[in-house]
Amino acid sequence: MPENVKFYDNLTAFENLKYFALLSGIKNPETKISEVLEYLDFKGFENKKIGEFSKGMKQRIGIAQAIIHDPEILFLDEPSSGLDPFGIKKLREIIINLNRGKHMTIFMNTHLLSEVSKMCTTIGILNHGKLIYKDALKNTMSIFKDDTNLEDIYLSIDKKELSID
Amino acid sequence: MVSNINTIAKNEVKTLFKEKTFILILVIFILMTLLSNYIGWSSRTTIENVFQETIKKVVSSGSRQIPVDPFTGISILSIIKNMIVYIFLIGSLLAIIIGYNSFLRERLSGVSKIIFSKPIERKEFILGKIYGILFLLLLITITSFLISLISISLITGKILSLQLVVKLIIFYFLSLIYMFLFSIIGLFFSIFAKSSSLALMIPVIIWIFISFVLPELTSALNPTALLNPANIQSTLPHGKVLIFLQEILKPFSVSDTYKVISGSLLELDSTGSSTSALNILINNSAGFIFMIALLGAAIFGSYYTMLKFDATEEEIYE
Repeated sequence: MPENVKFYDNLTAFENLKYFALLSGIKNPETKISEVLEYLDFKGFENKKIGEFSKGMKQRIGIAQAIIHDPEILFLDEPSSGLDPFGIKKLREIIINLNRGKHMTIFMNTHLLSEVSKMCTTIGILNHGKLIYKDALKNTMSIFKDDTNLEDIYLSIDKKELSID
Repeated sequence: MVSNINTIAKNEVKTLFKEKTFILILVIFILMTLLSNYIGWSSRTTIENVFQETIKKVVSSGSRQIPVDPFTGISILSIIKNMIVYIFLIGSLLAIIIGYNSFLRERLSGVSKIIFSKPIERKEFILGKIYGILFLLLLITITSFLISLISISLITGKILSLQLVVKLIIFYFLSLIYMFLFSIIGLFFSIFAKSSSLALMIPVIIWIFISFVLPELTSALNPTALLNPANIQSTLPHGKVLIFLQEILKPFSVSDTYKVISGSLLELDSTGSSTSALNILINNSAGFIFMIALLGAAIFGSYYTMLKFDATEEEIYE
């Protein structure tokens, strides 16, 4: 799912999801759409035009179109970008549920390190497209005992290699 | 593959029917048809009334020289001949907007990124778009055809002969091809151009070239035929170079081809084999073949450009 996911604003959530479900190869998408919207706690909004949705609602429709064909792996690009605290919390719950409930492997890239510490099991740090660090979150926290949060860890991993604007 | 093409085409129709721009285009087209029919009926009735009054005066004056009916040799279909001008000027421009809007709105909004993350091939996508555009234009054309058919039948008070219906169908089929060509030009630049303003500006420049510049070098040499689809009654004396240029360029001037074939279909009376729909097409076959070839080239260009389209592009410039 791309950052700032966009849809056909003049179509309803259901019409958008039906289109993307058909493109994903789902033959009779109606039941599947209902199932996914139920799972994302989004029932009741399917007949509203997407143009009337808030950013957080659009992100949930974005997740819906991405999981409608039950993928094993999900890539999320800055999923929390531009969301209010309630939207971030709701999205976090959805992502955790997808991993634990549907056993999806989720790759997520974000600049919000607080979200990483709340959601991820394994972290990787990219610097100019190069993977400079990768380990389980638990290991990382135990190795860098002196650092209180992920931001401090991030900065101390390789101060020389990381360019800080 | 076919199901994906159908899905994309259906979505194209659905999204456009929910857009104000398209609804406006449809309304303009229906109004154009109604206006064309009204003007055609009004001017024909006026001329016929003047003719009848003249005959009365001539008869009452005792003269034996009865003037010839001004509509001798003129088909009843000429009532809608203004449609030729409307389609070649306005219809083609509206068609550009349909084609331009078709993919550019997805590029501008970023929906294209989601579309291309789905398991569909680029060729399916572009064929679906082309199919959707063709369906929409077909819908517009059929609506206009039905309005014209009903109007002419109501005006004349009788059902049109099969020969005239065939001519009307061929006229609208030609109009469909003409507008489809401009739509595909719009579609091509909506994929190819790096900015949204260029994506609209280039097709409009092409439209100006096809509609005005090229005819300046061909039919404009006979000024009455530039906008008027009527057959050329007399030619003006020109230099050999201009006449040569006219002969060379004429088959390449698609707007001239459209005007001449349409003019002959709607204007000429259906009596006599030389004015049959088939003969009209045969007489203008070079221009007609070029129009089809240009459409084929535009479709191929759109297809090829879509295959090369970078779906990961950053936001398109305004």
